[in-house]
Amino acid sequence: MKKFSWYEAKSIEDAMAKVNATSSDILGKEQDGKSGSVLKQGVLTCLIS
Amino acid sequence: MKEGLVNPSTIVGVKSIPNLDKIEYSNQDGLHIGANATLGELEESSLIKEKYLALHLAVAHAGTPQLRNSATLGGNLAQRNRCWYFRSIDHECYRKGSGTCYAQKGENEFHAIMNNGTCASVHASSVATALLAFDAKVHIATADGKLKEVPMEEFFVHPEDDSRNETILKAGDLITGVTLPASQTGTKSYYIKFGARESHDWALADVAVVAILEGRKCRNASVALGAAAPVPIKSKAAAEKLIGKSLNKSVAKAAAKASMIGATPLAKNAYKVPVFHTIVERAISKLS
Repeated sequence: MKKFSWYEAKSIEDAMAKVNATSSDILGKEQDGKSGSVLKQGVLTCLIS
Repeated sequence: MKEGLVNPSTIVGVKSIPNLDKIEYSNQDGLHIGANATLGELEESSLIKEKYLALHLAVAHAGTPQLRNSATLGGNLAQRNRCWYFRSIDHECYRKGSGTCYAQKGENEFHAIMNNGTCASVHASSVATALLAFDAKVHIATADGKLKEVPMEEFFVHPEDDSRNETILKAGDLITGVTLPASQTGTKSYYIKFGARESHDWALADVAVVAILEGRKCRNASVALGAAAPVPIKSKAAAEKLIGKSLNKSVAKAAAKASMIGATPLAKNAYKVPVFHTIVERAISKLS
């Protein structure tokens, strides 16, 4: 697993701004169309699996 | 990430966003659950246990207590499908763009038995099964600043419609919450999960049934199946066997049988058909 940076959003707008600002290399935009903010939600739940 | 499906350079954490973890109920607007509410918080809600029993049972059977204390509703819905070929870094499967579903002729004992012709993975969320039965709506904030509501039935996307995504979420979209309709007088619900283990395991089959009863007579019903198809599905055939009938064992059995109409099990998962027959019948029998 390669290194990644972490940004803790303070609001929905803040999360959106960060996702849009890093749109070229944030995970989902290139690989599966999902956003980084969504990924964070997914990561928490991946624990279940 | 551990399975190599995604390699982000940046992760945006949403756990600290205020007011995204509320659980609120009103007779007018129904139940609203913020995306950051944990499954543990849902499980402990006496309101949910009283008015939305199927949802309570679904979250109570997810993962383990430790996991439920950290896993959020939004994350649960946004998680990727369950399939060991899809989640293997060594297999370029249909969902990764190769056009080949290795489960069709491979190890498919945990896979879909309905709508499984192109991809036989199943969605991993048991909570979604209950939310679907309750006709929940998913609230989404989009990247361009808009808010939208999407019925749970449209939130998940069948692989034939979009092979690369399991949900309608687009880049930059964020789940902000889920709303369930207000509980009507006479509403009863139940949820059953069948798995290889009682705890810390995925559902091999799960069902949520929601019905509005007048005495034993069923005025309306919804039957949702999880781990049956690549997305949680409603069985309209099963619901039709319930609506207008006085619930009893033979009605429950007929609905259970109807729930598997159209099933196309693969070589190693035909056992799921009688499992669904059993749990659907049992869930219906718990309503009255």
